[in-house]
Amino acid sequence: MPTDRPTDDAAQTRTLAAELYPRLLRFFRSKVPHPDCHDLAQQTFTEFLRQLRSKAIDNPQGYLWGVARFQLLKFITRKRPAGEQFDSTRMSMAAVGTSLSMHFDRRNRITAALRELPLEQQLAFELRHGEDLQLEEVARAMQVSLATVKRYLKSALETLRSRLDASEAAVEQQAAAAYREN
Amino acid sequence: MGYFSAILAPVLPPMPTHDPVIELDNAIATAYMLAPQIGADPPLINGRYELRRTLGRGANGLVCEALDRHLQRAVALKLVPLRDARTAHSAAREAQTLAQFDHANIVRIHDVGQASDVAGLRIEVVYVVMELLKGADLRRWAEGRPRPRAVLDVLLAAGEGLAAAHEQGFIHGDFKPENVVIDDRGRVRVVDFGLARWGDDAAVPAGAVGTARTLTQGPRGTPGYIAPEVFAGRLDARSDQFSFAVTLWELLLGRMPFDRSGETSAADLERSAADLAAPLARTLQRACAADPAARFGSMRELLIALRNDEPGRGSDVHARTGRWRIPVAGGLFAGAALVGGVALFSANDTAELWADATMPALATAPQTAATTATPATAPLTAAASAPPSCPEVAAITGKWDYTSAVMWAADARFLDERGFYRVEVTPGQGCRAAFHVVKHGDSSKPRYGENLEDRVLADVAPATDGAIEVTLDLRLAKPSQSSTGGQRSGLHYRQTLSWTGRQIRGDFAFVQAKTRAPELRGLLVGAAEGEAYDPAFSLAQATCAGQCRVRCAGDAAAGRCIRDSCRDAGATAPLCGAADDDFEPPSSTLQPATAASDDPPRVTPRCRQVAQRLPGRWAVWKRPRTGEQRAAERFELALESAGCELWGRLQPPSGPAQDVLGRVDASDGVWRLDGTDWALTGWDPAFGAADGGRATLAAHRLPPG
Repeated sequence: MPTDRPTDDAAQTRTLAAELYPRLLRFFRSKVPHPDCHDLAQQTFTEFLRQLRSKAIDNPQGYLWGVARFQLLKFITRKRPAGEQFDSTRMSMAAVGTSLSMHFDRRNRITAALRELPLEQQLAFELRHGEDLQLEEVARAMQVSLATVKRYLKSALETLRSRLDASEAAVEQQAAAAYREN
Repeated sequence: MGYFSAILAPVLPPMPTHDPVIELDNAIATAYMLAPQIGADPPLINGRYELRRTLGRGANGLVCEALDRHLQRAVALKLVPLRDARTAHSAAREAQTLAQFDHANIVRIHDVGQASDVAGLRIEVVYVVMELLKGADLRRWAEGRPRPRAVLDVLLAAGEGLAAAHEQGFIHGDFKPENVVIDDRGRVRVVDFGLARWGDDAAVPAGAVGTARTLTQGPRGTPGYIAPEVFAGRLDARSDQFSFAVTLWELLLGRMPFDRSGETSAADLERSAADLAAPLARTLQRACAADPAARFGSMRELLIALRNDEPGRGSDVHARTGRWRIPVAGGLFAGAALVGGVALFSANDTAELWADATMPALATAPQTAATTATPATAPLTAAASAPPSCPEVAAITGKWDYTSAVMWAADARFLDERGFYRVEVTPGQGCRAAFHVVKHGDSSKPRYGENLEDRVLADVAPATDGAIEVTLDLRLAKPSQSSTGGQRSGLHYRQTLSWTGRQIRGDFAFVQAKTRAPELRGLLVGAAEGEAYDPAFSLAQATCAGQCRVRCAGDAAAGRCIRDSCRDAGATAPLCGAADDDFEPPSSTLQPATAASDDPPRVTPRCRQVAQRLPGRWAVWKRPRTGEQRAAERFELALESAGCELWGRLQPPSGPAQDVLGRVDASDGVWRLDGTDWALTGWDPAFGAADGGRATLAAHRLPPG
């Protein structure tokens, strides 16, 4: 265990973890079961810390979620049978395999609806409405254009609205709340 | 603050959670992560149990793998956060009675306790230390397509555990596939016994001693497996019977016996029963009766009935096909799950993984029909539903009205000319759409007797500013006009429309048929049919690309402008500069003046109208069209006007400024400067020719000052 780090580094790491780690956990919990969600959160945070220490990062929030997305896609690819591709613009976490015990209350119907979106739409929606990232930050994290992010959000909202039979504002609020309760 | 300051300085939005289980999960996970990073201690429970890994999370608590430091053995530790220390104390006392219960089909409990601080979080928890089982729960086990006989055998074993516990006065309260584990020795163990109730904030969970109890809050079991009376606030051993029967039914049939969770109906049971052999169906129907009094008197009686109904070895429990159905919602997942023989997210068979309510669930709502596993060769890349239509096309489908305004014209007759349009958009293949454009009037004739129209197909794409953009190459003609020589006749317009929500803006060019040079350029503004829009036109409100197309001399200059200036949303085009080689000066600027310079100048409303637009500062780029020296020169021109006369100061790129005089032509509105052989048309931008047509001119108005 590292013992020669400055104490302020330990304090800062602890503060950073307190701020960011629960967010990473809920991001992965909504997609991947225990204990994998914890493993992925840990890998993401470790990588993020490593990069933060070694170089200046323009947009740390965008970078963090970009690493998280990358870890998730790597995990999914590893789990796929050999030779089978996962197209995150079309395939959803629900199509890949369920990871949540599907209860039948309202909150989990929303969670189920989120998981049935194509993964890229789910990520865009969660980062925007669940993690309150600005549109440009979402675009940077997902490495797509702003127009593409807007298109993902629009499609996600329309799908959720028709699945949940609610108004746009209600869907945004409820889906964001369901995501945050992971 | 060091290298973290950049990310800590902006305050992140708060992440409130009112769920103590989530708070506990977060705190413990953060502690796991920090331990190797900063040398912190791993999370400990009462100084004895070192938490190593979270194995699962349910509605009422977490299950972690832990090290018992005293006995140096790995254990499973369930943490249940409770309301307060008193509640935790009562729950711990009860759990200790569970620890005294020993049965081969119930997970062994080693220790029970309470704690007030976990991983730095102040929280009251009860913890139960149990055997760490290596194996898989029934949900995961069922993915391996066990034979129906095997399913019965496993459930009968689990049932033995339930029956024994009931006889000692214990109630499970949350029996379901996830709470039955087959360990690595093949033993069936019921887990999470009696712990589900602790989450309901009751003062004393009295149900453990065999009396029916009233729940103070809603049921904490899992919807779909909860007996109806539990919703009414009553829980007893017969509630476990109901949950057991539903579990058995689900694993045999591949689907839940009821269409909707929590609502059992006789009709649902009848439909489900039709798929099972009659004696078995009757037994399970009774165990799932809505009225607890109609069920078997005890778990033991149910087990006896099931054993009496057991089909002979080799026969099948199913009524008809005898075909094993895997309880999955979609064949694609089954196909994926069967490749390699394990579920996609499963740990391997020897993983120390079991959890209460968070193991991968195969069945997802709605569960109205059994599905059969598809072969592993099923195309896994196929979407489960029809691919969506192009969202951009969908966004602009319908009828739209817009107005055009001329911003530049080769002939001043068209100064401020307006055109009135309607476009109807219908979807085509993919991201193409059909556009039916109708021009139904203009400034001089607000309503045409016969409209000008055209129908074209075009690609629809998002623009850099997030709008939806289309470029239409139109030949607007009266329907009565026919094509000649195989070519479309009519007025050639090139319109670029940009949709943002219910509003349109854009730009257009009217192209002269013979020279292919734009004769008119302008802006477009509109909205969805029936909706209002502001018909005010200004270059500043145009799209960046539209500004480039209107203000730049020629397509090459416009393309350069768009490429260099319009990358980001909200960008504004700068001045365009000189014309490129592809630019043809307007023919009117190549002609001599219509009146001799020494004639008294005619004053007409048209030339006066143009002259009134010209005063101010201009940047003018002059570029030779031929010869070796082709570099552009930039001049600055300051103009004033009176009537149709012009005067001002012309500053060349080098040398002193000089006074200039000029006038606006009475007939075509071209403005000329004496002594420079310059002729330009337009009022911002302005284009023209110099040196008898041997050089092009492109001029933009400069801001005052």
